[in-house]
Amino acid sequence: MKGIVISPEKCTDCRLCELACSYTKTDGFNPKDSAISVLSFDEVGLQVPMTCLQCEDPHCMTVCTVNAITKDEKTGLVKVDHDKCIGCKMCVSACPFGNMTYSPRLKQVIKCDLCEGTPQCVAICDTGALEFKELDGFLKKKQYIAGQFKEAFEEV
Amino acid sequence: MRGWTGKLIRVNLSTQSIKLEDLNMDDAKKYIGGRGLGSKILYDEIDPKIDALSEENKLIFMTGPMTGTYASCAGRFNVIAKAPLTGTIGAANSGGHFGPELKFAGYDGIIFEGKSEKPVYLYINDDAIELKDASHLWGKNVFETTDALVEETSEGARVACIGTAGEKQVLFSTVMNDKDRAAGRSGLGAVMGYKNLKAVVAKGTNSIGVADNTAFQKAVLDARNKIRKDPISGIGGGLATYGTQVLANILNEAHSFPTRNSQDTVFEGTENISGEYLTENYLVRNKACFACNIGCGRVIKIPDGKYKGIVAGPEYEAGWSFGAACGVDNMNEIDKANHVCNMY
Repeated sequence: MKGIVISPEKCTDCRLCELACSYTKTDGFNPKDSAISVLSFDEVGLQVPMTCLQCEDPHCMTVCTVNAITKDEKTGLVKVDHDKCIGCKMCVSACPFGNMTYSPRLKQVIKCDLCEGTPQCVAICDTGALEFKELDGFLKKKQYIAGQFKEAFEEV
Repeated sequence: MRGWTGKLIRVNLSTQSIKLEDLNMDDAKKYIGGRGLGSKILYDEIDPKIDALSEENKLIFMTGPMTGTYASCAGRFNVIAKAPLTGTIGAANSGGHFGPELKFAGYDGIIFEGKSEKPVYLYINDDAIELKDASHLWGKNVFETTDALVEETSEGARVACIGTAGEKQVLFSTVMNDKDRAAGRSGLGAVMGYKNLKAVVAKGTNSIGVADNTAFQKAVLDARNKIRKDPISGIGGGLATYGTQVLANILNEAHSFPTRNSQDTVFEGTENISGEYLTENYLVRNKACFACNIGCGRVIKIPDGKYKGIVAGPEYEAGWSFGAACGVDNMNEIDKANHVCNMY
């Protein structure tokens, strides 16, 4: 199973991922209509791109009262059917990571759908902060990132 | 035409009035980009003989048609006025995130006229544009002002402001945005200070569209692929790896590194102030401006000593001028000097 792997230590805060996402999914460039967002912590020099993790047991799907959200068992993709969606925003509240957003302008929820296997945010990212690859053996990376957080918090 | 939002904000600080006007599309096509169009407006609207620090001078913030899109490095904007330092048209450009945010709010640019009686700042939040009192901010530095304004306006707002240098009309003072990006050339911070305009705050939720999606995507991708392969600007290139300070060693080896107030062209301490040294001993991460896939900006950590902390790293200009030009080969001192400049 492939997924978007995020390496915050490589992110430069350029926001090209947000632009590529909104331009692919909507009528123009708009970071507020993007399914990926970069969160900036300037005081410790940290930027973290956040997007849907395609959870195994998605809370957004559980709370959806009209069954607009489904999970594809084969690809792992969690998908929103915008025709079924009534815009109640329960899924926005339910996502533990805040990765489900609602666009008042488009009057719909915004969620990563991996662009049918070629995520545009990954395609535009030159730094290696975003990669689309097989999900296995990330313990080393986790340790590294956890170490970075530890260092950052010691600083504060 | 898309790309442009087609709207300009005209603010008269003397009468505190705010008007919207349509962008002159003929001029927009002829004088493409923020610098060209801003200069044209200034050229048309002011008498060249006026004093730069007078009510007749105008201060213009202008973006370009690609600002806010994903074209490489399209996050820039220009600040334009008659310059107090040079007496000619002063056009200073800056990166960061302020320019795109102004476009997302729905405006291509802002023209400031006159002079406010008391300190004010302009707050733009999509359709809501207002001049607000800035008395409590006068005397505060750039970092304090930016934090205070984000706190009192809205989260995610982008701030362009002056520090105390601009307030006191120092002839080389800058307009600072996103804390550590500078529209630095020709002393435009002094014009802003003269006008009693402490800051401009922008926040926007609109989209920027393009007229021909296919042609635009192709042009942007072609350009990006060229940049990606470039040994200087490309992936893993000189700028991404070492920042603009990569120039120190190069220029020193070419015997053209201005040293001790340009008395020498070779600096014996270059190794200790080079981009390579900065990367090895100070770099926390690269920090890019909006939509830039080069990422020459630095976030650095001064590991120890009296200047200990995380700050924005010096660009080549600061590295050279506080370093070789002053005969200083201590990176801690250069980093701190650069940080103080950003602050004030």
